[in-house]
Amino acid sequence: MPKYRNSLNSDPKKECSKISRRRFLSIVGWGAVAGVGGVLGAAMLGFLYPNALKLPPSVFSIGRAEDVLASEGRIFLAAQKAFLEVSRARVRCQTAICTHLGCTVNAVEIGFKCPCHGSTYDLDGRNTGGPAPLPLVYFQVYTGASGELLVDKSRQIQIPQEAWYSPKV
Amino acid sequence: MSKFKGATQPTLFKKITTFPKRFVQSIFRHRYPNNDVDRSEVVFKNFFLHIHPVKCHKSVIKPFHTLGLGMITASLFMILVFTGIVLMFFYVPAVDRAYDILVDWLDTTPFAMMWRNIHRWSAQLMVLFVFLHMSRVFYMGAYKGDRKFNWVIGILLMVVTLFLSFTGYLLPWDQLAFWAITVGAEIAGYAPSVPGMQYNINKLMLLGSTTVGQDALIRFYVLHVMVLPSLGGMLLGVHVWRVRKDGGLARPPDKWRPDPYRVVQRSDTKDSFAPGVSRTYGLMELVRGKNPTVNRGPENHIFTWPHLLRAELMVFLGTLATVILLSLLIDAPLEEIADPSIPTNPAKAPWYFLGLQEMVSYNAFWGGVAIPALMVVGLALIPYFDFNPYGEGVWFHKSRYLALFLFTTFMTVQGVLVIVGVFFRGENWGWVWPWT
Repeated sequence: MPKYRNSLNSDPKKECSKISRRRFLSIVGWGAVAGVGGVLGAAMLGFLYPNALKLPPSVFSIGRAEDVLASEGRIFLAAQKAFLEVSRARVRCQTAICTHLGCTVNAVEIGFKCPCHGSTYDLDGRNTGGPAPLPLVYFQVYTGASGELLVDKSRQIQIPQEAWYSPKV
Repeated sequence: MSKFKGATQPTLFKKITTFPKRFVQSIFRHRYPNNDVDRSEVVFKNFFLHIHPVKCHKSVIKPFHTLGLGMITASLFMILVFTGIVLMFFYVPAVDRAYDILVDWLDTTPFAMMWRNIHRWSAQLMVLFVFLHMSRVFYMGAYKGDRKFNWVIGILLMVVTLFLSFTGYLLPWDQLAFWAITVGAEIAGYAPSVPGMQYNINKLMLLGSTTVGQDALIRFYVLHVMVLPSLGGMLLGVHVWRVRKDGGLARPPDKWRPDPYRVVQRSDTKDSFAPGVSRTYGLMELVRGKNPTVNRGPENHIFTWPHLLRAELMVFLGTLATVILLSLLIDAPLEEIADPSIPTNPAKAPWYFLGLQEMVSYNAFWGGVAIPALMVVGLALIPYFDFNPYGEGVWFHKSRYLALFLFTTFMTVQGVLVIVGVFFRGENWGWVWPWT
């Protein structure tokens, strides 16, 4: 027969590494509080983080090739926040979202300027000044099955010269 | 000789006619405070007033001791809660309705513009007075001693105030609102995220999506009308309550020479005895007489009712009158309806965030995340790293020249950044001279 029925309770006279009943109950109790709090906190955070995001489709149409090539120069596609540039029967499409903090840049003579924090880009979209950390990327332009020119925002091109696409008219 | 047989039963008529008086007595349970006992009871038997002590030091009602800055800030918070509830009766947190309903409401409802103006100007003034109050407390060394943590609560209240302002000007869903959310969420996206997640968790949890839309608006609405005001109100209560627990507002020690042989009960410190007395005393006997503090209150103390409460009422009324006057003179701005494709040029935040915008225009992570976080933490830690014991409760104490210089430099730099953002930034955030 042991001296104490509770094996966790140790003889105070002996040097013993076993924890006391009070300490054990304290660990269990606060552990339960921490566990419940952690689960509730995780549930709260998970609740704020949606599993399914309603993202707009990454591919959009810019019309038939002959219509697109009919005008030269750069135009702003407001709904897509992108610039479409047409030059010598070639077309390329570029994001208009500043790589700094997401404002829409304005096209100016020397390239692009951001109205929020003054980032500047050259005519090819390379960041030349201000806080912008990255250049304005280009999107892949291609001819879809319907014959319309499509832009895929998920396929990004970093080198400006490679972004040109010459559609067959 | 007649014997007293107890009070006679009142007549039915008496029972009815005394009802109003008895009802009022059941609420207040003390008489009109025209004597010291009832002046005490009116404060400590009242849920709202007992955040104050019954008596306070006479310095608290001197206008140039505190300049009333904390009370002005608290008054503005109360005005903001009230006018905010008024605005909630009309507002709909939906991206396709918020702006139109606001414009309709301003056009069609009596005093709508006034309510919105009061809310707007009170919010702007509250940000200003939070910083003025913080400066007052710093220059007076009022964060020293036992008041260290109350300064930290004050810094938390400053952060809550700034977040309340930010979430507030998003709600009209005008151009300012949309692009402020966009930039704000992108700044949050520069804060460290959980590695291995597809999107930055801070940005996604703020917006509820990867782009700014309905999910973002409802989140900011809940933060603005529920989470942040509750947090701010709670912290404000603790802030004021701790002032009482710390023995009133910080002030220099009283001038009179303490008598070490006389037991002095000082309500302004935790010490029961004057300095020099090291014995403790048990209560032996209650005696009649003038020894030691019988029939005497603490030195230089005045009753909260009416002196402090009258001063606070004056400050509140002055604040209310000022914001109403401002609301009658200047209409709160409302920009064009939010256009998700292009911001205004230049896209400027309200003045109190233009220092931040100026810093962000150099570097997004350092200017938007790291330096603001370091500033808040650094301000909060001031009481724990200011080891100078002098100057508590004294304006510009000369022993604190270094602390005063550093704080003044810090506030001046912030002020210069705000002024640069307001006056020296033009189209595409380029440098312009305001007089050209």
